Amino acid sequence: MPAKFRTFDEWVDLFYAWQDDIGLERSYFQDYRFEVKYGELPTQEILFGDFAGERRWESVREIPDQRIRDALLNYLVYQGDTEFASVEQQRTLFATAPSDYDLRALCRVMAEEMRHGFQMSHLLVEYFGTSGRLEAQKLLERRAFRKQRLLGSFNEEVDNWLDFFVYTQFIDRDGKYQLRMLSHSAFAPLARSTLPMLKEESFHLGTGNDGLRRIVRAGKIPIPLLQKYFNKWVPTAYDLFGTDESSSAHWGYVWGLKGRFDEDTNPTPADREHLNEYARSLFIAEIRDLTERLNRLIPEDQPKLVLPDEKFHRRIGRYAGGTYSVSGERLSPEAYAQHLAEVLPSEADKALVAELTRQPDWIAPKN
Amino acid sequence: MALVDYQVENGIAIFTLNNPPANTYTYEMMRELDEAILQARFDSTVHVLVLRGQGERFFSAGADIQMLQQADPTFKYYFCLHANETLNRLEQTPKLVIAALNGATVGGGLEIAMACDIRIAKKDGGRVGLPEVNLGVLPGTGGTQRLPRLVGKTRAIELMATGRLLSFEEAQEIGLIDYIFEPEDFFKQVLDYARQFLPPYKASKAVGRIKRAVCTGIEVPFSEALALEREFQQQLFESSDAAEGLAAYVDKRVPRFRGL
Repeated sequence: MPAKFRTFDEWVDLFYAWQDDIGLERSYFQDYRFEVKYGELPTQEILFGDFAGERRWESVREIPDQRIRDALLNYLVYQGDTEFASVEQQRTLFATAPSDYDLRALCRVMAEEMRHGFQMSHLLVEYFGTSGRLEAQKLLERRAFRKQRLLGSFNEEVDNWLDFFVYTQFIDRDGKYQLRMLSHSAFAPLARSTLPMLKEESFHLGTGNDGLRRIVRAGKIPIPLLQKYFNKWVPTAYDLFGTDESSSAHWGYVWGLKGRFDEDTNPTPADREHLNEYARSLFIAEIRDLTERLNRLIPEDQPKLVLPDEKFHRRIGRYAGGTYSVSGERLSPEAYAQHLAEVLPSEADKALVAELTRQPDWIAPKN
Repeated sequence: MALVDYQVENGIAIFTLNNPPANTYTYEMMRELDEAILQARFDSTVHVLVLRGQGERFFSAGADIQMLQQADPTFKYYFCLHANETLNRLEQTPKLVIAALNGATVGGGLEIAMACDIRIAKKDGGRVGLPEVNLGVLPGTGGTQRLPRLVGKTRAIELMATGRLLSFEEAQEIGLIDYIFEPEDFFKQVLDYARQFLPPYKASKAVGRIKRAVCTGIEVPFSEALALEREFQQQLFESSDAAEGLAAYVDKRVPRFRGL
């Protein structure tokens, strides 16, 4: 299957065709300019790994080892795949936006996610020749709603605005971690790409966190119902950090492609055997703090929100496929199936969310 | 736990390379693969062989590098020799062999796949290539010989010298992969594909002799290859399937082959 295009301008035509194909109303984005953006790197030096101290690579030809080129291509593909997938997941939310502000926020989030995919595709097309063009094309061919996206979170359904706010809180926050780890990359065009992406991503997480705070403040969505959406999304966010004791992450570090989240400020040597676990632990600490803040808004007589245990409902890593409860206890397969039915959103829960979110005051106004 | 799970389902022998997470192979796994090939050869109910990897992410990532690192050169030599003999045995088996590439297929994993007759990959399941050069060695389980036979000399040298990994689509474009199937029910689709080569609707003995004529014929001078082809044809002329095939054609009815 040769790529259907030769230049990035031709890829852009495919990009607009993709928008039409997934049923995206282009008028929502008519004022948004899709463009490639690069930031300014603090240093031209490679910061970590076996090439530390050398000058960052400006082109693929400068990369000294084919395995690094292959791994870099993979990082771009996975990053790009998540960006387009999230737009596919959120594409049905326009009509149910709780306010004009939320509609504008949704449009901005989706436009920026598309721009991030646009940016990754640009890198693929401009730097990776035939292979890159083919991969950039495939980014527009897989579909989240056909469960073809490369990572589990991005094949889940985003049915309603509760999903949206929980998703942006946890899944987009994972995106922040991935982008920040790539921002230290030895491949300069990728590192420069991530800087504007990170700025834009911060709005997305803010939208999620703020949305959840407004929901809790309004007090119309029962906390146990909201908890089910935490149970749905948080384990997939844990999965997004990858396998435990990952050799891919290890090599990515050795090659200087993907550093630690805090690579530029952490003076200790990296534990290269447990890079994914380390990133996940920082993420968990961050979302635990955010969840505690949310809990402070919940009246005393109501249950509090909790993060699902790291073992619950995992598809990747040492707990993958394990039958653990949301609080981490081992269950029999039968009890686990029953437990899942109780703690994850059911069809009845979705119907309840649809009903509750039709009320005008289900979410507090944006301050 | 078997390193090669072997089972027969309705005329198809299914080999599952089973060494998670990457289904890398050791001498022990090659021994089991060898044994399973022999079993499939001798089993007259088996008409098609299908190889796959355990799990969703890897067909096989090739030889176990830790094992190679610890082994002495003599062991490595005999390990490679045995692996070559095993894959030759697979290639010379007069039954169709299909590789179901359910995930990354690199190094020795691709060398196994290249010894199969048809390669079917799972869309977006992984990448494919011979990156041995990155370890300072060459693809030593037939890779340097089978790859150029499939994709041409120049392309093969370039792929092995760079160690570049290809998407399944790129591999299909250069003739290294025959089909790409959707991930959903991938293996079921492979089995559906494989069933077309089974009796009663396909003369599996003829399929096997076609394979043998190609695999051996391509390696010998043309006149010898034609002689080989004639001998296989004669075997088939004497087979009950050929009698059935010709008779059914004349009678204008669907043949009922038996693989004999």
